[in-house]
Amino acid sequence: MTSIRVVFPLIFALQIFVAVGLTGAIAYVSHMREAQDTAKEILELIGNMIDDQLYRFLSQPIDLTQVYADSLRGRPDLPLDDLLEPRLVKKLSNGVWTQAQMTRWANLSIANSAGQNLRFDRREYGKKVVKVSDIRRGGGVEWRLLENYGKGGMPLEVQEAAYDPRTEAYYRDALAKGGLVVSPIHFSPLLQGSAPVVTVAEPVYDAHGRPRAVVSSDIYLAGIGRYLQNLHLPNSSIAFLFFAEGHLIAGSRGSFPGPIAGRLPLATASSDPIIRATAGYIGERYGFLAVPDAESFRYVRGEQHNYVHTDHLLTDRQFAGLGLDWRLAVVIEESDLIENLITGIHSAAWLSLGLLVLAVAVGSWTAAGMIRPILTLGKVAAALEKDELDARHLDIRQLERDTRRRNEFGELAHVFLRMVLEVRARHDLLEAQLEQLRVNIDEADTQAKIRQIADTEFFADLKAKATRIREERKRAAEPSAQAFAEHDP
Amino acid sequence: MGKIISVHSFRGGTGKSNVTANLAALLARLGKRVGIVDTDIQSPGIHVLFNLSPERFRYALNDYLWGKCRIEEAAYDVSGVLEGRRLKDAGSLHLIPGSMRTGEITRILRDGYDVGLLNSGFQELMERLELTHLLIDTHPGVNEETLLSIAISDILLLILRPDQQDYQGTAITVELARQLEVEQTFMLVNKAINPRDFTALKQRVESTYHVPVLGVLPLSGDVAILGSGDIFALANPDHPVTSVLEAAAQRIDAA
Repeated sequence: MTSIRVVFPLIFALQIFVAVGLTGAIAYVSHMREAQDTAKEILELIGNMIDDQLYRFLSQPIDLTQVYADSLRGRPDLPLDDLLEPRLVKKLSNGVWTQAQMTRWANLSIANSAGQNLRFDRREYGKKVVKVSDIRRGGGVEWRLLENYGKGGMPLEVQEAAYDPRTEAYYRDALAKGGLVVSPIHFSPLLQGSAPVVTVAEPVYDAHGRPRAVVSSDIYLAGIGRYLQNLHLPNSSIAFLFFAEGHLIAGSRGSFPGPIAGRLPLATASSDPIIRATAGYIGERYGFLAVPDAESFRYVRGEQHNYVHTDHLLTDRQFAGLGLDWRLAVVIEESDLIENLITGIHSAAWLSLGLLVLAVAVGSWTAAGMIRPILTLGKVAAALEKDELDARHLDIRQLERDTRRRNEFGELAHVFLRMVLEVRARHDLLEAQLEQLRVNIDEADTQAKIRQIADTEFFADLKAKATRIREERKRAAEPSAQAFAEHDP
Repeated sequence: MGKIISVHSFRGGTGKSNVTANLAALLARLGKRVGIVDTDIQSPGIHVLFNLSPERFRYALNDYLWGKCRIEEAAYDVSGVLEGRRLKDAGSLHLIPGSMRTGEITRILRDGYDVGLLNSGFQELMERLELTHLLIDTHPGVNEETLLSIAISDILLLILRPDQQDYQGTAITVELARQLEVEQTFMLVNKAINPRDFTALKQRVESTYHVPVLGVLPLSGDVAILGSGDIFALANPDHPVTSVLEAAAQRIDAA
């Protein structure tokens, strides 16, 4: 038999444990979910902000290209057959710097069908330069200061390798499409170190539909990287751009590596552990790196919990239909993002646990107090059964104290005590009845005491006197009796 | 010739004086002339049952024993308790109380009293007052005075309370009474607990002592309440206790 002493407090404590524990657990899970939702919202906000900033950043070359192409269309009389002619270069440059004066890295190229290419650019120190090439003259690229162009002298730099814009993908794509295009990433020979770029290009046709020129502008991926690095992101966070096929475009970390052997590095092979781990997780989760639109999730790297927001970039407005397949991932460590929130939740959880222990302890104590009268009743009943109960018995004293309770237990104790006293009274009565029927006489003791008295002189004398007195009384009575007999007819 | 009846118990508190008073009253109700002598020198008290206060009696048994008065001078007619009870042909009641004076009690206890004097006094009293029954309310226990009273009695009525101490002591008293050749010994069980056991109790006592039991009286709250204030049998003629006492009185009268 399992004692009520164990079962009752156990059930009581269990109920409290389940009630408080469940409430605490639900609150904990709810708060954690809320924290995670908050984290996702923050990440999404950061992602959208980056997307918006990148849009502004990348829309400038598009705007520049489109606006400049429009300006050329507005001047159909302007001959573009010889792009390298100094007066023409002067004219063309005015419009470029007007358009591009706000952007330090802005560049613009104009290529014609003769294989000439005129590029307005800046050198690293900010000086305006032109880079010119003519395939008919060998295709080498000469760098000259814009202000000195056409005045002779030695070029700033000469790039011997032949450059024919007509063979470039952007050129072909622009003419093939007959409108604005964005080229795949390629390594532009017009830049020092052959940096990876994408080129925005738009063709300009004459009245007969013949191409007059293809206007283009390069977007430096390194420039995007620098832009990302200048964003004020939390310390432990990183934002990086990548292609669905896995190549890394740019990242917000300063140590972002450049192309290796003419190719962009794979995100999964990045030297940055967070990019590598995140890309690995995305690959496992979605298959390759083809993440769907606007996705937020959380993953664990070692003991580190990271929140990730991924999204397609540049899919709307001017970039719509340009075939860009760029993805953005923003990664933030949980501790960095919602550390205070999590700490608060954990503190609340510990507090709840403490309260739970306290509630269970108080509950157990209360339950023990509630069942004590019942246990006392049991003990008193057991003692009564064994005939071991007297007024000094501890349990009966406890029972008397319990009668002072102003509740049902008090009433029960009162009734039970009355019953016990009644049983005891009956028991005592029964004992007395048995006692009065138990007429036991110790014969040996009786005889001994009788001898003590009967053997005395007093008793012998008394006996003799008693005999004499009776005889005297008998004699005294006889005459009366005799007289009575004589008078009796 | 009248009968001398000693009412005795081995232990105190058996209700001896109460039974004595009630039996005396019931005998008087039967038309007998009854005397009562309180020889319980150490703790006299039967006079209270007859509403005789110590201020009202000049002499007591002690005075007779010391030669201060004649025996009849120490006897008081207490037949007044029978009045107003609608009794026809009632007899009379005469009480010789024990002295309530402490000095005299001590003197008696120290010197004892003479058996011949006591006997002659009882005889004289019975003759002078023409008593049919003289009931002696004795001191409990077995001592010289008690044995003396028993020795000169025609009937010994032992009041027994059903417990082991009384059983043992009563056995001694019964045997001493036999040796003193008391003609008739009776028992009356008082303050028995459960009325359902009375028949078994009576048989058990009779078979143990070989003495007739005149009745078994219960431990009655009614009797206890009345206590020493009145004669219970007269105040409660229809009470079952009274019936038992009446039967006992009749048996004593017939003995």
